[in-house]
Amino acid sequence: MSPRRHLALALLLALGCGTTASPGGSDSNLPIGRNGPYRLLDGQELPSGLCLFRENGVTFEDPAVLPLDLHRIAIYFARRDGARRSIRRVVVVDALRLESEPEEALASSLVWHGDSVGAPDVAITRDGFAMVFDTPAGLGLATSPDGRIWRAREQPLLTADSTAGELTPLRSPTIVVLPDGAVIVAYESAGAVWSASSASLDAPLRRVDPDTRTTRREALLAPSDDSRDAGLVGYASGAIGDPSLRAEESLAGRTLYRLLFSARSAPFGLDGGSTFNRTLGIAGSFDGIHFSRVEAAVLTSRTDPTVRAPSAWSDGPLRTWLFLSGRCDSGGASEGIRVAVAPGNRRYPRTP
Amino acid sequence: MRAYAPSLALALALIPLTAPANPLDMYGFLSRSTSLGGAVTADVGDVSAGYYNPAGLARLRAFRAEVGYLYAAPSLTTDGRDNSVDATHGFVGGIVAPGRIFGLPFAFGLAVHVPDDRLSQVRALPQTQPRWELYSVRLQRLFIAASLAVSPWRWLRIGAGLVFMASTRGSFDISGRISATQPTNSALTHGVDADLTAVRYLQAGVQVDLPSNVTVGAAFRDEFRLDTALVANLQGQIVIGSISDPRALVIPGHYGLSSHVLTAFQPRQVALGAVWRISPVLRVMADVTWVQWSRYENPTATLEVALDLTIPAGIPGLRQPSVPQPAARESMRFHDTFVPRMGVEVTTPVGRHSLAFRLGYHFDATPVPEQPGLTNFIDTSRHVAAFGLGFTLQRLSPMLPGTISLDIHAAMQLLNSRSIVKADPNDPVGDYLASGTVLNVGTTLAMGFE
Repeated sequence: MSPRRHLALALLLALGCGTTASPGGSDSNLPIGRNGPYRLLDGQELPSGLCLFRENGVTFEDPAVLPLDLHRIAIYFARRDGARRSIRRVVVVDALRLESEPEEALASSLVWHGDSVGAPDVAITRDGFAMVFDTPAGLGLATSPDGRIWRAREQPLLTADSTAGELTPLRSPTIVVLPDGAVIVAYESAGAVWSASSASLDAPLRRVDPDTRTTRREALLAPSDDSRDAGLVGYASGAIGDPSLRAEESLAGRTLYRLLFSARSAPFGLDGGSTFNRTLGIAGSFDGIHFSRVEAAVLTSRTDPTVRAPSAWSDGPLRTWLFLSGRCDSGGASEGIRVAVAPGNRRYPRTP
Repeated sequence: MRAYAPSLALALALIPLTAPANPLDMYGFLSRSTSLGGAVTADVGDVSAGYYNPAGLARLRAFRAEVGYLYAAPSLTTDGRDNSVDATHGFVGGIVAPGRIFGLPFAFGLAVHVPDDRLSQVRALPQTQPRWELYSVRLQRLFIAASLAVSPWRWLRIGAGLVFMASTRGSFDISGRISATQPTNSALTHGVDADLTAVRYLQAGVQVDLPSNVTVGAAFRDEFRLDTALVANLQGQIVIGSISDPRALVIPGHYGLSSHVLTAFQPRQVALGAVWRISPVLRVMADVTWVQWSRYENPTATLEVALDLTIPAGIPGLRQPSVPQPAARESMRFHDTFVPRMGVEVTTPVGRHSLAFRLGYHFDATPVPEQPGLTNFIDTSRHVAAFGLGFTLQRLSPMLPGTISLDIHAAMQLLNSRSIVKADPNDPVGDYLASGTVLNVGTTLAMGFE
């Protein structure tokens, strides 16, 4: 063979090796902590615009998710019409479509309810379902055998105690029922998140103090600046509220508590005035008592600065959906339930 | 075939060999040795000696050529989900050419593993990203070893060889004047300088025949690492205005970027082994290999950026922007391991031919420590059980006076389930459970001449 043929054959072999290769594998389905960041779905991605559903002159707020099966969830939320609030339920398929129209789950029926029950959260119990909600007088508890027909307990579950740091009415409760029947209820008061626990739903709640070394009761999660904020106004430096607590069992055998919350920054000057940022944050804990929050907000929206009250649902091990209160139009004329998503580590960048 | 040898050699030389370390460490080399669990340091006497122990080449007294194919399909999971880690497959083979030098038997061996999918793969990932550190990219690699062995006495064989790899280094330089207001009128010159630098590492070995049909052996494979280093320099002047305007504001400056990736690391290894030929039919063998994983470096890319602008005095509000600081890399903290191996071979005559049954086993303790922090280098200890058959045909015809052997193997790696738990409840990856299996099959066709 001539040198030219050798060269041509060598080039052919070398190029052949490069061109017959597969597109370059990359590992997929790798684990992800599901700490966001989340992206708000826009009007093109939901069948009914920016919100899951709308009703003129009415606000839908404070959603709480209860998984029904792999594709369906029930969302409990507050319907606010003027000063009157009631709790409704709707079933959503694949996080985007309504299976049926919203139906009433709980209305104020007791004197201490006033005319306002709202901010629900629902958990599965040994006997059925438990719902916590807020009223002007305190937190309430309702139970249900099927998640649709609810019966409220006669007495408030918990009322504010200023000696325990709860300087404003308790609101926006969230409930976790552990496999042994123990109950954790977290709630908002005075711009912070507090908690109480009991051995069962029927036992009285006892307030939790995460730091018993001090005489003053500490909040589960309080607004604070952070050294990582690097001189800027921290996203959670003003107030924290709307908690949504969930307990997850990892395959590694540990329980991880995730606390989603609304966060408000401390006021800062802008264009000669004063403003603050409103974002969503997440905090984690291995014992349900000592929480640390993630460094950065998990959802910040420039198009909707009113986002708050998140509740999460994972439709698989990787992707997580967030349902939250927000604007249903750019002008903010109506508010409803919006949807955000964190796609997870389904596929890392491929290498050609 | 000889006519194509220069083309093949040139083709191999044209291919950049930069890729992570060694598929042979993980899956073995050629079917007989693989089916014996790799416990062949004292027993190897075929082409696979080019990897296991170069001294074994001197066992051969006639030319031998082997060619085969390896296919290893991993099924590695985290939290029960398959991570689609790439399979490793390719052609394996080589030659042994014996002769005599100064009256002593010696042999030259060439051993190759040529992946048929991709010859190299480099992936620079952030250290937080989970990856199967000892699988995945690391096993997409070309292997070429050239070895020599000599037998100064009948009972002693000594061999040594070199394995060849290439490291990539390059620089990219731009100089000139950049117009900030009219970029298309910038006057720039650039130069590119890239090198594929040869990297060689040593392997050596010895085999000693003892009484009672026992042979002991030792082999050494040196550490090697491959780097990809890229340097970019931008030296020039930023002109606010037209570059031909002598009154325009000129800001001299330099921007430098340096990237370094450790694309491959093979730990230093020392293997000690023994084989006992109990009878012409039965032989048993055992090895232990020390693997120096403790010198493994964090393969995460380092990126250093420098910016130096000479801003003329008297221009308010114009400041040199800050540049990002390189991210701190966590220490790998891998630890050394000892790999025990054992194998059994039973050979039964079939007429003038022979049939061999082989079993092998080895246990690889993982060198990867707990991962409570930012890093997510996934690995678990593995049990490897292997099975093989070999059929050797003797003197088929006067035209084929030597032997033709067909060997097949199947090996299964069972990766222990391992929980990775994180210290921080807000860890971006969180706790997970890793486990898996890897099926490794292959065949080798060998021709031995007389």
